[in-house]
Amino acid sequence: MELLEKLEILSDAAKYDVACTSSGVDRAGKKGQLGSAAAAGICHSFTADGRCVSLLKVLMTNICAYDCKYCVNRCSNATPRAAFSPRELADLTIQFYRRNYIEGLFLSSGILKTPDYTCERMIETLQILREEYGFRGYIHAKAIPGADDRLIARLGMLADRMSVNIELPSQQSLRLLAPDKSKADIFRPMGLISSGIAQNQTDLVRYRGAPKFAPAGQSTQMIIGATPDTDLQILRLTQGLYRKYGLKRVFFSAYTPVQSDALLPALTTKPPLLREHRLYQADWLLRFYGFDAGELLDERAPNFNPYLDPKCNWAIHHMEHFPVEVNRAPYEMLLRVPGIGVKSAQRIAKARRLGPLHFDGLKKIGVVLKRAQYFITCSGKTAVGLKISPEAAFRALVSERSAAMLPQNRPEQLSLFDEPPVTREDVVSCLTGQI
Amino acid sequence: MIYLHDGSFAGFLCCVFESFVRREAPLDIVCREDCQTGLYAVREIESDRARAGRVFRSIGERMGEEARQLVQRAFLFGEGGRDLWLYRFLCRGYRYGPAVCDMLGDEAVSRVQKMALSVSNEAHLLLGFVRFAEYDGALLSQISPKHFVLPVLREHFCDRYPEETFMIHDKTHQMALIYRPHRAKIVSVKALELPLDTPQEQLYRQLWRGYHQSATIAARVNPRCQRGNMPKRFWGEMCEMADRSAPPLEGARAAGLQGPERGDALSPRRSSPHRLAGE
Repeated sequence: MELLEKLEILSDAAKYDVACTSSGVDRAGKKGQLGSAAAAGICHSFTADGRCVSLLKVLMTNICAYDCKYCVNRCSNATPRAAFSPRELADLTIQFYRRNYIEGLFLSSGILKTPDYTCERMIETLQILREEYGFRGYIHAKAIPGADDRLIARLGMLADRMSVNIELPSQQSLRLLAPDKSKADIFRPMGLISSGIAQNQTDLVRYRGAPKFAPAGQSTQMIIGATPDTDLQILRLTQGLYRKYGLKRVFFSAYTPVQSDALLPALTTKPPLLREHRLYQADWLLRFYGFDAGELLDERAPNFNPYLDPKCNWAIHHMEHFPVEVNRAPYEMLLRVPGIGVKSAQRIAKARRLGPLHFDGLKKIGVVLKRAQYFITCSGKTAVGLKISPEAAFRALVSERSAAMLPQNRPEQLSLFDEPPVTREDVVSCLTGQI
Repeated sequence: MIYLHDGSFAGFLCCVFESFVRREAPLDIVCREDCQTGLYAVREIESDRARAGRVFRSIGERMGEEARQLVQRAFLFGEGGRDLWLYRFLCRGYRYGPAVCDMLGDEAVSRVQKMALSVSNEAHLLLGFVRFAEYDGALLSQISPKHFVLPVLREHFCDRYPEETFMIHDKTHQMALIYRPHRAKIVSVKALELPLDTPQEQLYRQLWRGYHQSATIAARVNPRCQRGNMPKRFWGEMCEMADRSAPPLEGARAAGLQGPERGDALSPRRSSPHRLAGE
């Protein structure tokens, strides 16, 4: 089989893995070797779906012994199969890397024969890259659930980041759709990696030259919308993963139907992109804004508001905390103001040491006043000419696209017996928590 | 009074020197070549290494390392009005010291911060968007950035490819970064004709294009998002975006670039042309 055809099959099979980041590790280049890694990550291209291409994301092989219902590569699926030899893949990576097409390699695999055998082939590829070519670029490797602990440990020594896909947000869903995988199978390597990273940290303190184990940490991903789990469940799980396993990232992947099955959403279902987007927004709030999963969602409202992003939603339901005084409020509270992000909060904290800030100064700093003005005061004053009402605040917070989704007020034929239609005002007052 | 300099960083620093010696505030500071005849008097400022060095050192001493780097970065900004804002920034810096970098409510400071940010942002994008092609073992690349980003790219690429020989040609500023193992310099290069592609080069380009297209999920196509992250002005020099008129591979065409409206493109399995014979 030609290399081109192989590459297409194996990248096509890997594209549903969302993590394509090359971040988390800073490694300078070295004479006699090839490559470096930047902590912020570098995007090399963007595909037509708007996702970043940073790594060469391929499977070692898409020949798989498992039969997970949601997966394109399940063994019962009639799809063309291919496999890279370790040498072939290493060469391809190097040639792409030299041309600055990619930042490194993202290597995953279907289960060829046994998990151990699969893992060995991955290790062989990474060994050629690291040892033969002296490759110092980024490598993300998938831990193969069920593989021997020592193989996983070896993989972690060669890779920068490791990940184990949690696949589905609950054990129930997992049992239903991925009968060959169990929760224990997934959490075992995850725990192994996180303890490996922790162990490595203490080794590095003891002697500087200790080889590094997955220096860019660990990530995972789960599929959204294939099963009836709520956003609250997903967010709680996410928070638990960050706290318990010290993960760097949790990725969400809106389920794209790849086959029809009674247990799965219909083939014509559109991927729930808005839901995925809201989850990522909430994920950011957990990691950088000091929010807790329980603050954003609760049992009464277990799913995100489609009209408002989670931060605005929280703010509009907690008007008792506002307005905050920009010149005095603690940094943590600034972060919670809609229209102020991490960067502008940091800049405010810096700039207000030198003198009081006013609304025009905030604008220069990068605060989105359109949103923020309803929630802040500058030296005790609100913005000039602003009338603060929940309706006005809501209108400022809702994005144009979401506003278009609200029922429009349009002229209607009067009738004596119709139910009164749901008006825009009803929806707005409901969303702002007045009812 | 309008100050004219030779366009170099040293030339600009000499203008600052001159203004402090003469105790006059220039109306504008521009490069000699960009100057148009106007009503105001002009003063030609000669570049002088010693004077420039004095100003440069004084920036570090009076305003700190952060301000010095900020000024250097902002000077790479490629659009108008740059020098006067930098001059005003430096005036504030001499008065307020290192705190100047944090005075974000001030017009000059925020302008300079924004110029530096704009340069850094473009440079960061280009770290990923530069595409090399191999000719006789040397890697060549062309870019046309808004700002003069080669000094920023130099650091990154020399570190990344220590054993390669490469060149990045900046078509906008007609300069090129040339690197041979362990030595780099930025020289003036007016025009550069790229040699013809070797078959091997074509192969890798084709592989990359095929990869780029098959990595697209058809059900999520979102060209606006793509353009937002990767503005179209870069596409000309990126091989996977540029020669899209060249016949794409069959599989690539089916897997990518079809909107979700086409019902049959929804399923990657069905859209794949590599069906098994018996299916």
